[in-house]
Amino acid sequence: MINGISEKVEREGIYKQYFDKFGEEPITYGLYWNDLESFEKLLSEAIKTGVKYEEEEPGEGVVY
Amino acid sequence: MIKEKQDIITNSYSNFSTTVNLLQSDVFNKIFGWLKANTGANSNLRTLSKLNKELKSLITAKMFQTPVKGLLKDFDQVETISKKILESENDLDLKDFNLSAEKQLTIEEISNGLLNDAMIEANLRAPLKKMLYRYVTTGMPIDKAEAELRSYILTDKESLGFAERYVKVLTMESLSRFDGTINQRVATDYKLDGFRFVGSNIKTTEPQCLGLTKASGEFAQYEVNGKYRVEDIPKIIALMKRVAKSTHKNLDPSNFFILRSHWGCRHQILPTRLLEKDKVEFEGRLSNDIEDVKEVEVPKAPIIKFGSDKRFDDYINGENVPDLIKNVVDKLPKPREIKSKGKDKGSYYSSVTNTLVSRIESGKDTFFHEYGHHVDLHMAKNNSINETKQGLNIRSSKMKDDFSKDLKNINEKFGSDALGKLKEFLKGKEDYRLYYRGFSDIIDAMSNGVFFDDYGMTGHGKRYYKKDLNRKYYETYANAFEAIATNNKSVIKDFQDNFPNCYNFVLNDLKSILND
Repeated sequence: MINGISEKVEREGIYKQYFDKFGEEPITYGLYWNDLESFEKLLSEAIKTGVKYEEEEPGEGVVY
Repeated sequence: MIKEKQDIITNSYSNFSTTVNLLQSDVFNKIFGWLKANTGANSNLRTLSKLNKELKSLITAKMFQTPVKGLLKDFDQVETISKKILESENDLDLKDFNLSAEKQLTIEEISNGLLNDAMIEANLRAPLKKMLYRYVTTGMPIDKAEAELRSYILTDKESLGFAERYVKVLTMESLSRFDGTINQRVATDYKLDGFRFVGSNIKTTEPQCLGLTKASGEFAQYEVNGKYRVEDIPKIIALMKRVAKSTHKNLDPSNFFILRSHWGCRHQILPTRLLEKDKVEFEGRLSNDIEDVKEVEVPKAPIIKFGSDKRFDDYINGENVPDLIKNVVDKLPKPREIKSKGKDKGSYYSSVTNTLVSRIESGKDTFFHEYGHHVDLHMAKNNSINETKQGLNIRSSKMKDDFSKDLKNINEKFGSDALGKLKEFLKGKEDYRLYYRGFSDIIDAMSNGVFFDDYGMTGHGKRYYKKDLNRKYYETYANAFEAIATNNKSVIKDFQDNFPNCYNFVLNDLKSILND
């Protein structure tokens, strides 16, 4: 395992806003790992609508 | 200490400043007085000859004798500091390391420069004579000649006077060479296998010195962790000579530490012992010698058509895509379906349905990433689901060792908060969210998703990796495939520097696919 500090790094921007709104991290399996701009837009929508962001688990044999 | 030594070398000529400034004033007054007295004279070559004789009695070797004695103290100081630097750098004891012969030879060299009449004639008197003959033969106006003489002879805010320039370069170069001689002898006597090229840069720093201090351009290929290998010195010298004409013509491995780069070079070459991790990285670099993937010897690539959106054909047939990738894509069965939208909004590859989805917004990098998954998972494919799972485990276990080696090296290289430092490292890259997604994603895989979840960096996150232990290998494969296919030199260099084993694993896997 790569070295890192154990405490949570301070959340920033939209991720902080999401956590402040819902009290938890968005549930993601990395579907938007290569397109954080789209992911952040979806988080922004979730904050506006009050509906949590949640991804389904990738199915059998699916890789992102 | 390096800076302290540099300051002693740079300021060494101050021993001469009083003497030299007096000399410069005397010379200027004498010449300008003569010019004023002779302005407008038709034939003054005879009087000029008299002036030359006076200059000869004014600029003598004798006047430098006393300041040269003062300079000897600087030699002792440089020797003391050099030894301290080399002792701490290499854990050596240099108390009894005798340098009196080297010191004597260098002092003779400087004495020859400053106390030898022929050298003084060539460097100090001859340029003045040339100017004077020009004034006499062209009849230059007195005010113009005065301005030119003043600027050449005297030291002012803008520049040093003629004698001070000569003395400065000579003293600095002598001390630098003495310092270099210590480094050369320590490197040889203690069989040190590495070196660092150090010193500050200024606006006029020569390109070969910039390349070596910053490990930039073609010099980067010879550097690891701020160090170069002694065994690479012949190649490095050849590159220096190719990059800049100012490089010493006589520079060779036997005098590399002494002459450094060019006449008047203020950089230092410090011999050092390579650590095990340095050697591992150099070895990784060596086995990864194929800097440009396009140079891998493969057949000329055919034009590929997927029969889907034209943009996918444009991506794969792109001029910058290495033939190695094109040939692998051509040889293996293509995904059953390649499309821009799937039932989910993101991009993905499904080995069950053999479908590749790559969103338009995510661009060609993502397409190559997903295609990397297709190649990797296809190679594990077998007749039954169980046999395929077995194949996936075998492929993952093959990559496991390389993955662990790279992870270990990264921890050693970046220290206790490697993730924090890697975050800073990536944020220092231009458009890191665009060009370094794959790099960041490998770090995320190596941290089992912590890099995304806790550090806010591009990656798949903890949930993704918790579900399937092989996913970190699948993602690493896809990211290396993407790096090779997109063929961005800076990104490839960072892959080779940080994940040399994983990068090589994928490169060799692709070559073996072609050769099978």
